Amino acid sequence: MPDPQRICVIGGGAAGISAGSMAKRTNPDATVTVCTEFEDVAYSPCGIPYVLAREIPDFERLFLAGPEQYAEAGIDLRRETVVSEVDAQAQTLVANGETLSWDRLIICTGFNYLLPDLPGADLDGVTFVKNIRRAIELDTTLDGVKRAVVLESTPLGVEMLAALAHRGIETHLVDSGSWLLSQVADPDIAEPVQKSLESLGVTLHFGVEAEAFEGANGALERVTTNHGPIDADLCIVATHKEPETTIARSIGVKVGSTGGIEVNGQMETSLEGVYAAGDAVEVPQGFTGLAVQGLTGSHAMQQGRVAGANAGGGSRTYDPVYVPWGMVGGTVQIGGASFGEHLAESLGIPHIVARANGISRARYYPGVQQVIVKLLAEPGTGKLIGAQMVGGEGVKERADFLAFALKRGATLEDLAFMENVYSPPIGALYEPMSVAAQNGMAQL
Amino acid sequence: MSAHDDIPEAVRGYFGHDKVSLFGEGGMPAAPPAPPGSPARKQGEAARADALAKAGTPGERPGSRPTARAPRARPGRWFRDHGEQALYEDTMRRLVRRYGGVPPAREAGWFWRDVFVPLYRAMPWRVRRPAVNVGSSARGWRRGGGSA
Repeated sequence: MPDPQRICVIGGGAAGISAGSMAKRTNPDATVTVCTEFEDVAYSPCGIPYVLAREIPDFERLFLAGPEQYAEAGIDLRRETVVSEVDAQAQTLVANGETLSWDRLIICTGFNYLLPDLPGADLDGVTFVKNIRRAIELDTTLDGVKRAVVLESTPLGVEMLAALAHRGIETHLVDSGSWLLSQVADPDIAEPVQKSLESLGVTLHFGVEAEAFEGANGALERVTTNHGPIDADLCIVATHKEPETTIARSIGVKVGSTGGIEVNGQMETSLEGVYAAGDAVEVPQGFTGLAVQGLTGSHAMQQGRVAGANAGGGSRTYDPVYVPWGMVGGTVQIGGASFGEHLAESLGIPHIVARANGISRARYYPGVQQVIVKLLAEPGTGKLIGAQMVGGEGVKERADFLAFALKRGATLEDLAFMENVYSPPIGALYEPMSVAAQNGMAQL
Repeated sequence: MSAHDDIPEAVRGYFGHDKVSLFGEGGMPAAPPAPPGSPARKQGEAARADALAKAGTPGERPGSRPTARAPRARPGRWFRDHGEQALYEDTMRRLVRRYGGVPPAREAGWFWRDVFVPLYRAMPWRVRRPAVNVGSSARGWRRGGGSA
């Protein structure tokens, strides 16, 4: 089969841009067109909460490239371009009224926030953080905000709690779950982050359900909950990321049990020649095979690279995921890989829990930080199932390492006898992961 | 009093959580914006100017309401959503008893709470393991080394 000559990408986020770039790199002779409904591409949306927090001085720093650079690379980037129809039989799409033909299509349509089914959700002040220009507008609004509510402690919600508190805004979290980040973290691991946020002045309301947004003259004045009202000029809604699959479904692409587009290891959908990547797709979790969706920007970028390479005529494979994650909550780092105790117990995966309270450097070295590591392993074999960590530093590196160890089928014994860096300013003699594994081996 | 008050100021800037702290204290200076006149800088400045001009004015703009209503789920998703939520809530209650805290606000309906969850929990893992994957799109993928 000759290499495809016309490749269209719908979506200009991390997945779409990396897919377009990789398709062009794989097949320089191809015409690559990227359509995005937004004004901007090639910026870091993950940096938005930190500009709003005033930790980063301006939004301009989040931009990595301009549209001219894509033109120079031979990519036809079309901004503020809405793809309204796709015809899979004729292999065409309609973008801002113009019909484009394609040999390969890559769908990277991302996500939308699930709108809470609550009265008053259309009031001014009920706000979503996603697009950079709207975030710049929000930044000007925050100067006049006295009280704010964040709905749900998803990772974005936690970042926004700290950002709002740092702006001097009276900030409340309303979360129906029992602890912070309950979809991904365990209560014992989340606790130091909760304390850190409280020390910044954030009021945390767990086990509380929002019931309505109330206001006057079209503007939000309070969020009512099953535990009473909370006065608020602003509510950041940080709910579930619902995959945007309207176009995919319109051409008969199969959607899976998470609502995300089903893809194979080549990121190809159920329709031949149609690929997908990023927040719009679901991929298997490595340990169970269970489909998962709504991962991180780095997952979106790597999926886009695989989709783009294959759409360009190359041969790349994306593996099941072990989902290393990490973030700063307040002033504490939290992270993990694969399953925590909450998820493992929910799914009923047999497991033992191994813990260690370790340190990040030599105990005598200035700035030494506590690092709590919790490992989950299969009873009997000791094969790792997942990990969670919280501490002052070194969480990200351990999460990355443990995700790789999980992928390679590492056991507690492997970790208990692992080699580790010992250098007083950057690592203690006893690596906390190794100590946790040693503690866990006693339970096998 | 911070645990780091006794650390010399010069050292704080180079090591420790301050290096990646939320509010930018210490550490290496962050990268400046792209050079003046560069495509990235121009795009950033244009974005800022446009957004500031529109701030406070009415009108729908890209990304101003990036929301979706809960879709009418197909049976596979409907079952997974409800089953998963019921199991999460049940586990949350167990962990709250173990670690302390408040119970979750939501409670699954009687079928999910009183029938599905106990039945699911009663199944041995060798039965639950394939049951978890019924209807999953994961078949045909390369398996990782950590597969159960």
